[in-house]
Amino acid sequence: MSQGPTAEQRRRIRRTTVLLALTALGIYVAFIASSVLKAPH
Amino acid sequence: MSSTHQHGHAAHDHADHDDHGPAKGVMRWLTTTNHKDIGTMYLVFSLVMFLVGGAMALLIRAELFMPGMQLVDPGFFNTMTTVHALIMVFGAVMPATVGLANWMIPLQIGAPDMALPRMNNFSFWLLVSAFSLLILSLFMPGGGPASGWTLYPPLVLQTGDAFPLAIFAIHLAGASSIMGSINIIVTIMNLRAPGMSLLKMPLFVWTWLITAYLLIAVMPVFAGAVTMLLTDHFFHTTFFAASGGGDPVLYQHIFWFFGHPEVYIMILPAFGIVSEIIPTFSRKPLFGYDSMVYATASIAFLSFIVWAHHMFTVGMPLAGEMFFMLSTMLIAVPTGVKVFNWTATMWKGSLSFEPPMLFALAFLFLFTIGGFSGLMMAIAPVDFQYHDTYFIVAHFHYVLVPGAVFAIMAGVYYWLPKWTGHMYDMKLANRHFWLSAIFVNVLFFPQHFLGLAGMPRRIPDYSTQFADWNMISSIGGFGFGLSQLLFVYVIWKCAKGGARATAEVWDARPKGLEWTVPSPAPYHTFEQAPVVK
Amino acid sequence: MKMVKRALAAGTVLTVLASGPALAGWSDVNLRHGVTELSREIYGLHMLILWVCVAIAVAVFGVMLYSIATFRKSQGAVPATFDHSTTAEIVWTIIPVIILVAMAIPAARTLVKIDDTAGSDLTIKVTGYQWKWQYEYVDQGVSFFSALSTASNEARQLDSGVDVRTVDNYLLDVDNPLVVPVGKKIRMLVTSADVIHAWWVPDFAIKKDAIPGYINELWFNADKPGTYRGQCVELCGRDHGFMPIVVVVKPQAEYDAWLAAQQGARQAAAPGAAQTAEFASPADIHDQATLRVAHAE
Repeated sequence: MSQGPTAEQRRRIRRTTVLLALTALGIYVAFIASSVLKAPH
Repeated sequence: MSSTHQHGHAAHDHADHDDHGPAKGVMRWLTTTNHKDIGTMYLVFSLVMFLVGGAMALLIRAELFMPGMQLVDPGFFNTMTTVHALIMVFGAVMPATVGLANWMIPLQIGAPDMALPRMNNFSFWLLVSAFSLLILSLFMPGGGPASGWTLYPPLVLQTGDAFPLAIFAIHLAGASSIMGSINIIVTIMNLRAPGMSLLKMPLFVWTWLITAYLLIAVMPVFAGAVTMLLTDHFFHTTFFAASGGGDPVLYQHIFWFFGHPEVYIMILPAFGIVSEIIPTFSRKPLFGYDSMVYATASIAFLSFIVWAHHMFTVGMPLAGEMFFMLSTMLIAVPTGVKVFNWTATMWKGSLSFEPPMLFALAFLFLFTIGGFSGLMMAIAPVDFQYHDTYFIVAHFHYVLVPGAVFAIMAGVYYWLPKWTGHMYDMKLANRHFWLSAIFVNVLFFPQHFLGLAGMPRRIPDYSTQFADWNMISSIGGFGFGLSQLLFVYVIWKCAKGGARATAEVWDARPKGLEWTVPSPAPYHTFEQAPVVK
Repeated sequence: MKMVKRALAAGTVLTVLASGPALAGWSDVNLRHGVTELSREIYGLHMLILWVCVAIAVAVFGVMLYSIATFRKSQGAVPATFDHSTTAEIVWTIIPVIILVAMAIPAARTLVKIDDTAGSDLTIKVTGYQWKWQYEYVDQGVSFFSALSTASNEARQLDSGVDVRTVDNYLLDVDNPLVVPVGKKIRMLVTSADVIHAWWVPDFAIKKDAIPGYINELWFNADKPGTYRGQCVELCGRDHGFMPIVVVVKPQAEYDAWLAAQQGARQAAAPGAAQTAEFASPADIHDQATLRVAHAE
């Protein structure tokens, strides 16, 4: 039946997924944080 | 080998029951992790949203048919323009391109499915939740959001109870896009069949790879912007409120830093579709494959440094205006390269004009017209006359409707027989094409004149000198809108039955792995990776 | 058959569109020259870019149409096999760059001129409100609101029963227009008391956003007396389409007389009284934050 991704492929897929998800989160936080720093408090 | 088998079996979702075919009934669609099913759901969803957003457009054009207020309250009119745009951008165009990506990317790279099938399912259903919220927001006290899809503060903070629903809808849709993009990137980077190097991939896959990176880069920016709108509204922050030391223009910078790449996110997959179809029906390879890839990458990169051309009248310092004018003009270069390459593909080809080719050629002409008005708008001192008038409305509708939407329709007409196994009614599809192509111009071309003559955008009523072109535009709107019912009918009829389609489908003998599998494509394809030379 | 259909379709569309201006009462199709040196310069730039686009369009669409007409499978065309040409790619990258540079130079020059607000003869502050404008002649003691005229406002209501074509300058008329002298450099300071608006007079080719917390600048020098009409061009709520701008440009002597009359009227009406800002109907303002901004002005 289907071979599906190999173990090595699954490892790479998981690693890239985490990396990209963290990047997205990081960009979200960065823009809000920089706006917080911009505002006079 | 046996260990690979173990992994293969473990990779299967229990709900798949691949030995017995997909699950039955509603549960199939709720729990499917199959890229073909999910692609179909995205496409059906986007078609429904296209009709809903289209109905709102017809309401707008009906009110604008004659000067004077005949139908709606001005506040509701603003809600219609706002939600029409949000639905078309986030509910119609983007999900349609994601649907095409889901269906076609695994097929085109010789992969059995997307890399993250369960997240794929979740991405789709998140979108349904998002738009349920958005549509629900229309019924809240105070009416739906009415600030324009751009949601500028302070105005947007005058939205009533619909406000949190709209913001959450955007968050959910954004999360859906980000997850979908991650899926697309890891799929393309990891699951290509052996022999398919990056520079051998179909251009549709390339454009989606680049689009996915754009999405990951900018969707979180939009999420950040609307989060700050939320906290300004409910939690007494003053990110964008002058009274608290904040800055309304900061929102615009953040929004358009997302917003400009967003429009390329909408058009790049369309470029990819057209780059598949024109070579097929010209019976000639795509001209300049490598430079098409580099041009796409250049456009994506440049899209990050032009955003303030949406803000030329905001009061930027001269240096800023100058920079954004020049960078914006620069984008014309790689875009022109693509137009020239498509044209060179046709040159000395052997052309036939099936519905996909008709839509692709209309795209080529009419998107280019949209490109010209865009170039005009790049010239900042003249943009002071165009900005916030119907000239802008004309420009973006040209690049989005006979641009992105026509390309999507071309893709549907191209791959529909592969999905359903049936040829569709060519005569009706032809009729749909001609009606759409003519009416779309009747609808949008006069809007250039209206803008130049001085008609602002986002107004429900206008001075009488704008009456004639508005009437023509509205007639075009109804003609175009009603013609889309033909599209729905052609698809529905094809799904039910029709002449059997071969694996290759078209006499023009298209290249690509998707044309090596039977039509309809089996539920599971490329379970053994094909060999690519 | 398809070629014929396509030609017919294109021809029909073009005829419909082109016949527009020929028929009586049909609206314009192009930008206006305007009544300032800058507006004429901007019109010139617009036409230059337009003609460049037309020229490129003729060339590119020409090649496309020729291909569609000539290289048809139905006529037995045999496809060539070439799929790249580095020379061609270089040529059609370099030539557009040259064209763009040629366009950028006059554009940059005009942009610099627009930015130069120095040496003005008169400064007027304009404040956007939901949904009207307030004009203050700085240091002249003259200030007033300018709102949509009653005739237009009544006609535009839903089911008003009024045929709007009978209303003069429908939606482009106000109770108190801005009045300025001809041939003088007028500097406008543009701001808002609530949400973002934008001030635009097409005949002067100037447009600037009116933003709470900001004071934006623009300038114009009208060289012909007359009445010039514009509109708010930034979505500002329910009645965004109903807060027009009217500028009456008068010869210097008439302007002086008008100004004196305004100053006199204000002296007589309320000696020493401050010009207080009024808000749009409070029911229209939902948000605390907006009220705070308005109060801060």
